[in-house]
Amino acid sequence: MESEREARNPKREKPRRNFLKIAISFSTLLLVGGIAAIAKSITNPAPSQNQGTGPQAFPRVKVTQLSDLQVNQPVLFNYPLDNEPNILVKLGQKAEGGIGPEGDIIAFSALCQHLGCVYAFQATGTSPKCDSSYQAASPVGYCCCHGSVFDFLRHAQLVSGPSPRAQPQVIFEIDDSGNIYAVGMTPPAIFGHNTGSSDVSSDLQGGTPVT
Amino acid sequence: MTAENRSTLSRLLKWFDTRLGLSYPLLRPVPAYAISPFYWLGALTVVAFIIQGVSGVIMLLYYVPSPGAAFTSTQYIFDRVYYGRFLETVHLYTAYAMIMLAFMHMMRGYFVSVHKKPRELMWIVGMFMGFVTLGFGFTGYLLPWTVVSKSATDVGIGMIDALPPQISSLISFLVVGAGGDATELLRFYDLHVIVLPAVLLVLLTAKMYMLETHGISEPPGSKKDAGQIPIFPDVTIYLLELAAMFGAAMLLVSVIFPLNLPPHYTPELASQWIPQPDWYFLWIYQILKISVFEGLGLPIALGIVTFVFILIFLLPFIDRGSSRSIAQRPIFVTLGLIFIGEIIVLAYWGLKTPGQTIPLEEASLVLGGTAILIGSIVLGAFRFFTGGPKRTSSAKTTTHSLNTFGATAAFVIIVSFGALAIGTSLSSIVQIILNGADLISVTRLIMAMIGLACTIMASLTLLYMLDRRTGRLRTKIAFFERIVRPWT
Amino acid sequence: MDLNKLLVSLLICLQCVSMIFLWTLDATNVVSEVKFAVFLAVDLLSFAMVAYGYRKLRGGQLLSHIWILLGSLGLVVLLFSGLLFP
Repeated sequence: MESEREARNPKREKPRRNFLKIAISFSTLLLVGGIAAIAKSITNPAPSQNQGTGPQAFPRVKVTQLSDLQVNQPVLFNYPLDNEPNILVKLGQKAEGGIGPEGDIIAFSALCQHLGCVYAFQATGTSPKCDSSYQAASPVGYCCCHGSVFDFLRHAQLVSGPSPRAQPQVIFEIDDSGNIYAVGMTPPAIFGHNTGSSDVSSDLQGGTPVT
Repeated sequence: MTAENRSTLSRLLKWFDTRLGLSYPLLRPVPAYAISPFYWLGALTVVAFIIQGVSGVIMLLYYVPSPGAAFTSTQYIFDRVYYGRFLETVHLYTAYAMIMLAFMHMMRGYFVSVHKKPRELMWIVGMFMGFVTLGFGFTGYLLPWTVVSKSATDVGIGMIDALPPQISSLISFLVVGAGGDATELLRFYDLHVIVLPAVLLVLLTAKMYMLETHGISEPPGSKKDAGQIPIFPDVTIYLLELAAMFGAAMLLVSVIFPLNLPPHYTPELASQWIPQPDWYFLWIYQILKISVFEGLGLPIALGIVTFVFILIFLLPFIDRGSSRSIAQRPIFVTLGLIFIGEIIVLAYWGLKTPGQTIPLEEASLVLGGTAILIGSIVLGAFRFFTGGPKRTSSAKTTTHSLNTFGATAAFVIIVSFGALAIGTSLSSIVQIILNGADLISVTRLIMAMIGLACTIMASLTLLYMLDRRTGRLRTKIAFFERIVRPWT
Repeated sequence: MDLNKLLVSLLICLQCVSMIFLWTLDATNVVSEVKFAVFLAVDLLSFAMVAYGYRKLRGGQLLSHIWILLGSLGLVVLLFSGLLFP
């Protein structure tokens, strides 16, 4: 097509084709040059890097002291690995598996057994921020993801919701000075560590143990 | 080739061309009808991928893939790196655009039947590329390690456990590794930065090879001797033109809606957070939130979603008709539009109901109603545009003087009944799968199926009656004649 | 054709200007990110219009007034946004 037009009107077509070639070549160069200006991003020093590592056996870790605990004030701590959060609460009333003088101090894995969401403690009569229509009739763990409710007075058994099982419980020891030590976990395994298994040794895999 | 041109630029261009072989006809010319943006949605997806690569590589220089430093390094990019926030924003919005373009490319191909012979395998390879694109979204979402991204990704990973053990253990190993946040983040990072780009490039090469073999599919009824346009420089310039406009659009969106980094992930914050997947997974998440799929029913929901994907995968072997014209494929066009409609409804609904379980009845009504509404409109449009004589003013008057209220009321009743029937049958099937068959659930299922069959018959009868009254009926069907004659 | 040549020349000048801005912006300034995006968009849009002109004129077709008007309007808006706002 171009050669036909050029044959018909060579005086007009040749300069026009030259102009178009120059224009598009120059324009392409300017485009590439403009985009290349983003390279100015590559002049800052990189931040330092750190990483965590490896597993082993249930550590004995001090969590808190009896004197530091207040009723219905949850304490979050990682155990046995740095990526396994747990909720410790002094309930103010006796709970199954509870420690302390009143047997009211309990702790459970904070990772919901349903899909691994982190749930929160709800004292009696309170409502979670995500669902103001729910009011806790007793101390519970309420998961905002899908509404699983765990009874903190009875080994975090499932009260309602889609979770298939109760939450793992932290095993404690108290020394004479009132220091509370985490020394192990009860079945089932923590979510994400062979979920649903009764073998708690998998709680020790895949993370850095806390000290 | 024209007569020799002695200008400097021409000599320079010829020097490069001789050495680079730019004008060598490596790729076949493009037919003139393909100079339209709709034919290049796939190419624009590749352009989006290139933008992702460039912005991603720059961010790679600063990002640290460990739980302790992921957020801080992302924040560093935002606050300290030159044009860092801009890069992050462009990266996010171009990711969204890439997913949207891939979807549009797929649906456009679906409606113009590119999946028919000889391009069946192109469709299947394209579907794999779509999965990889979604994989990019899933893996990249976790990397900033914010409460939004970590919560949503944890929910997604949690669903892997709901799969059969052999599959879940393999996927879990590939995606999460031995367990723990550090391994998980590193795995996601490796997938996002190395594995998925490599897989996508291999698949892209395969698709381009097949495209080169088969050429661009021609629209039905097009002239066989449509003008051919050479790849270089004409089509290349056209592609650059489209890419430049797309790039400009992404930049402007990034400027108008700048990204703000959500808070750092901590268990305390996460406990009060309702996790939501990103918009492209909302439709799947909304299905999983339906009450009947809660708890032990989750594998069934995942099975349904998987089944939908398998159907789309195997489309070339399901849609076996030889015709590629939209006008001659009313069923598949209707199904395609229903699919799009349901995805949009589910995604919007998911956005509006975070963390809420959806009652089965409500889900049945909304989904069933959407399907019936879209199906009725589309099939009605097909009948209007492709069936019967042209409308005249008298026919129009006849249509309006038809018992519109009665027809509308009948339509609403049929839609409602149909939704109820669909919901009941679905609920019964799930009950049977979970708890085994008993007399009550089987009876419910049979009754629901009968109800569904009645709904379909009623819809067809209503349509037949409307056609008959407006004079658009082409063929009388004895069965329907017996039903409608007393009413007409 | 003179009008077309003028248009293409103007667009290339615009690209030059935007490229100069892109390379001379103070990258440490947060506002510069917005200006960077705007001027890069000007560069891209100008290139798209030049490419459009190249494609159409090379094929002996006329340029669509609507696309030229829309493109020019877009460039004007972008330039004012980039230059006038601090």
